[in-house]
Amino acid sequence: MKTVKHELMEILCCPMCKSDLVLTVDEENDKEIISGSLFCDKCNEHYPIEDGIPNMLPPDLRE
Amino acid sequence: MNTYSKKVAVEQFGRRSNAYAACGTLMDQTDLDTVVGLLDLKGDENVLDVATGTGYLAMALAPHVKWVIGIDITPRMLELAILAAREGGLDNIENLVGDVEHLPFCEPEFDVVSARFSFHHFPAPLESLSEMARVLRPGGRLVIEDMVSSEDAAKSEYQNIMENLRDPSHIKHYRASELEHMMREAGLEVVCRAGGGSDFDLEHWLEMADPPAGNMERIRKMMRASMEGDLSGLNVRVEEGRVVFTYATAIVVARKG
Repeated sequence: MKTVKHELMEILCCPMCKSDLVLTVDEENDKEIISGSLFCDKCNEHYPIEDGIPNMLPPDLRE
Repeated sequence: MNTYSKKVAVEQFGRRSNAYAACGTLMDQTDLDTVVGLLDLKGDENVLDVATGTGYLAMALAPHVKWVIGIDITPRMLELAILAAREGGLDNIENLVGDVEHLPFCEPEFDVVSARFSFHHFPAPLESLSEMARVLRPGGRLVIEDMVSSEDAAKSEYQNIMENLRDPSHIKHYRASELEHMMREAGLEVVCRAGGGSDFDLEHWLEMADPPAGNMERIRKMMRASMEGDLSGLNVRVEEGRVVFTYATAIVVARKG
């Protein structure tokens, strides 16, 4: 059965242009992706996943 | 202005996350039950809780729906939300950092979108409502709960001046009629509303946001001055030697056609 985590990764898109994202996994366990990134080809922007939490803030709001 | 306001909110809620997590109004189970009850859930809903904070509404909804995604602009608040969900044994909540005006979903994925006690922080209220409405499925419902100010314009302004002195990330406590009007502007049909009130001790309320000392003093003076004739609409009064007041709250449910 698909976990919420997997479903979430499938429905996430770029917050700016709403395009699909390419997932890169750096570290994962059987439950979740711990670190990695989601890449928007169109905006040339990486959205990081850190400690299992995707950071989908627009670039100008990210620190 | 917009980006600046959001960064101020991140600073404010990052700094005061534990104080907000312990706020009696936010964790009020009766109020949470009211919101859940108004939604008449079937158990198969996908829910997005916007500005989820430490996750009180997400956790109240989770047992009654398929899953809840919590989104918040402040990472520190989400850390507390994740810990609380884990302690509560809830495994159908996921959280992510994001901005209400730029939701990272391309399709209308959600049966319910919620925002509880957060709408007064959104620097672009109409854009925020439109974006929340965009990700709703047809027939899906948006529920907004927030503090509201008096329908009297002068009282509403008086209250909002104090709120700004207390918390620089405060945008506006809208009048209930204003809130509903904006939801209609965003293309939604208001289907249900409820109101309530929440009593606050002035000193506890100040302590929670921890504004600069000069602002605290100005707020205390304005609160006391508002007792005569209820200038703030907050029914400020002294009970057992302490200054207390009552926030009016509104819960509005609106449907996407």
